[in-house]
Amino acid sequence: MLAKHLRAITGLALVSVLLVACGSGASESGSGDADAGPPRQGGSLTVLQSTEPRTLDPRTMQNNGAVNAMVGNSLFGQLLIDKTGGGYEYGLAESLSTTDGGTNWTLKLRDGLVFSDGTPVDAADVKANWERINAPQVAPRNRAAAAHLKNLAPAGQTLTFTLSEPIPQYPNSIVESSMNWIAKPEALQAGPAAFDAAPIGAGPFVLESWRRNGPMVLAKNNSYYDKPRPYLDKLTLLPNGDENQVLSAVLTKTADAGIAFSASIMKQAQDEGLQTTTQDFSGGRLYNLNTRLAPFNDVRAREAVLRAVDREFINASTVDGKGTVPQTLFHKGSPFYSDAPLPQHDPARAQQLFDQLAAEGKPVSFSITSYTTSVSVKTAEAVQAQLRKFKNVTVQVEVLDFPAATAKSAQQTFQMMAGGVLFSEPEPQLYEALHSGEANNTIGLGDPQLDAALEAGRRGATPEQRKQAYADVAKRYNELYPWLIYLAPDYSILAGQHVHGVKLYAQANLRTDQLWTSK
Amino acid sequence: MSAESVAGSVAAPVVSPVRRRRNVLVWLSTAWILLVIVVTVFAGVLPFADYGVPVGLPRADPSGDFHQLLGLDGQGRSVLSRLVYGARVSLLVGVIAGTVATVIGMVLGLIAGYFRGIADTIIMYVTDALLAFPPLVLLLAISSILRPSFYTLLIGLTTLVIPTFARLARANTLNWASREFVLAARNMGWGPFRIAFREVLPNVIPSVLAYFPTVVAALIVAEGSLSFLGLGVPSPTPSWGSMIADGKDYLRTDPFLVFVPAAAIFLTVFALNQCGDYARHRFDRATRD
Repeated sequence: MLAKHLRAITGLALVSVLLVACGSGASESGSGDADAGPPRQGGSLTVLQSTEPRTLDPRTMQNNGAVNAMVGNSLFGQLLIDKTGGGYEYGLAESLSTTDGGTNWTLKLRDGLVFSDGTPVDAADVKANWERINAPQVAPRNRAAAAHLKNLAPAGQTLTFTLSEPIPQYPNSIVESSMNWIAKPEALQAGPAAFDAAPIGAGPFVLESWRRNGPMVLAKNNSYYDKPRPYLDKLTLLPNGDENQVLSAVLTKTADAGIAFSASIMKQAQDEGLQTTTQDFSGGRLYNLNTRLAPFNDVRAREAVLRAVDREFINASTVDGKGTVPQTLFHKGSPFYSDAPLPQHDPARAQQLFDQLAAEGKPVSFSITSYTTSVSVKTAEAVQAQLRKFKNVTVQVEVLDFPAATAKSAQQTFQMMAGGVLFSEPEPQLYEALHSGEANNTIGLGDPQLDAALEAGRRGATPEQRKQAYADVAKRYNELYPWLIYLAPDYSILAGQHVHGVKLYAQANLRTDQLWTSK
Repeated sequence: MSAESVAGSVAAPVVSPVRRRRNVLVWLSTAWILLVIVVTVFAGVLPFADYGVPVGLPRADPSGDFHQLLGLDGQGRSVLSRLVYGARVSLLVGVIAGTVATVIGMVLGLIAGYFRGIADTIIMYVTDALLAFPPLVLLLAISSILRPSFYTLLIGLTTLVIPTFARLARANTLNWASREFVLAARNMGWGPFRIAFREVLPNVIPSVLAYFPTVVAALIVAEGSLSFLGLGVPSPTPSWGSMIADGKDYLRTDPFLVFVPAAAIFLTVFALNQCGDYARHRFDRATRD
């Protein structure tokens, strides 16, 4: 039983806000790294991350490969790691279990754990970190996972806690949120500036230096619990959200690895002899249609737009046709796959609906809110260009910088906005994004039938029950037209052939303790 | 009294007329500018495709099809059509901002140069401050406050070049205000405003206008820079700068998406500069005397 939490992946220079969630069962695939031999100790690597965090306080960072996962994993390690094919591997934690179907839990930490300053790590530190996340000053969507916590009782290396409702998949909420990172509470109390200068965690690396908008140099933490990891002596993280520049940097050996968000860049990297590592997810890149506001408070307007847009055209225009257009809510390899097809391109039906709405005095007119990244703008323009072929619909593209766009998303004042949902285990990602009343349900969807199906999926005791529940979710989802899912997730790590140990887990999180170099 | 009567029987010297240098580049430049103006003015009645609607596959190569003469952009839209309609934005912004700035700058420069005193001090402080500000930073600041649009571009670019014209007009006014005909007008009892605007201004105008094409060229480049940075006119309205921005991600595979609008900017700016140089040589006394 595993669960997880959603994070609005606001990948600044990336694609757009990716409401990413994945969980147990994320399958990883890639090219290269075969016959690499035993890991080599020493050496250094430079890796490009999409954006750097504002501060190093774990609760302000997003535990997502597209955002801050590399920094968090390096400095604070991981309590849990989800395994390909299901189940969990334990990191700082030794076990996490429930005896009553997901209400009461027991977390045990490894013995002998120490922070990078040599002081011991115990369950009280976990409690302090989790309570900091579940604080009013943290955005509701970022504390959604911790908001379920009650009665945290630390005793030595053991923490017992209760959830506000039974959530059998709760470990996934930990894996995919900043609850997975434990920092030294006393160091956090010293304030953001002091903590940013000398963060203390129990991760594989310690901060050596950090120049804002420049290199973050991390040195090996000799007291890391999982010897002989980390293999690297030094890891340098550089921010760069432009995947074209990332590809160029890795090709020219300015950097050793970086993140790409499109299949076209991944294909170019492979053609140039780089290795790529990716994960399979359900969901994908999408547009959120805000059901609170006109015109999308009318389901016909939502259907019209979804039928009008040819998703294959977006694939061709944004990623050179090398991406995959999802046909179902759950991808074919998912245990929750059902064959209910996503709304298909049907221009005649779309025009009919546009005309019908115009005749009723409700012509469809809206803005697409896009991030400033080129891929986000290109996608918005591709949708706009296609809708320009139809009568009785007008579309503007509104390009906002990251803070303005995230504020608009949080305030739910957008009409149609770039986003994303990636998940392998649908809990809690799908629940939080589509269930009425949830903080991450930015589109304001509130459908009792869908809510009931999502609740059944959350609480299902057997795989069969959950599969049936998510089949009901997929069916009802297709009748509500809440998202325009246009491309399957194409997140990948590009790396030179000398880079080894590229392992992804959860929401495309790179495990920096596993990295090594043959150079 | 004729030359013959003075010189008597001496034959008049034969002076061949000064041969005016014909600059082919100026003629070609004028032709290009006229072509751009005519095509953009009549774009609506010419058979160009809708600049916002895909007419084929994204990034299709140039072909014999009229809409596809220059290929299709990343959204499958005709590059030819977008180039033509993009010229409207680039030229209109350049010309309107240049014109407004010329009028405002000339009046300010005239007031500063003729009346001197406190007006001169204030106007020169403001223009010096604006000139000292990095142009692109100023434009970015304006664009960050106002929502990107055609009018935002106009405001920003106009603000940017007013000081240039003001200083130019002031310098010319100082030159003309000390001439005898101005003194004569004053002795005849004309008021200062009448002298400034009726006597001095007509002489200042040609010199200032001679810089107009050069400034328009600079404004087109500035508009291109802003649009490249995503602060130009919103999609789907094209401008040359936004076309370059759209095409930059395909530089590796489809370089024509950048080269075509870049060539249009280059040719137009080059042509305007050629015409500007010619106009300065023809009308600006400083370059002639």
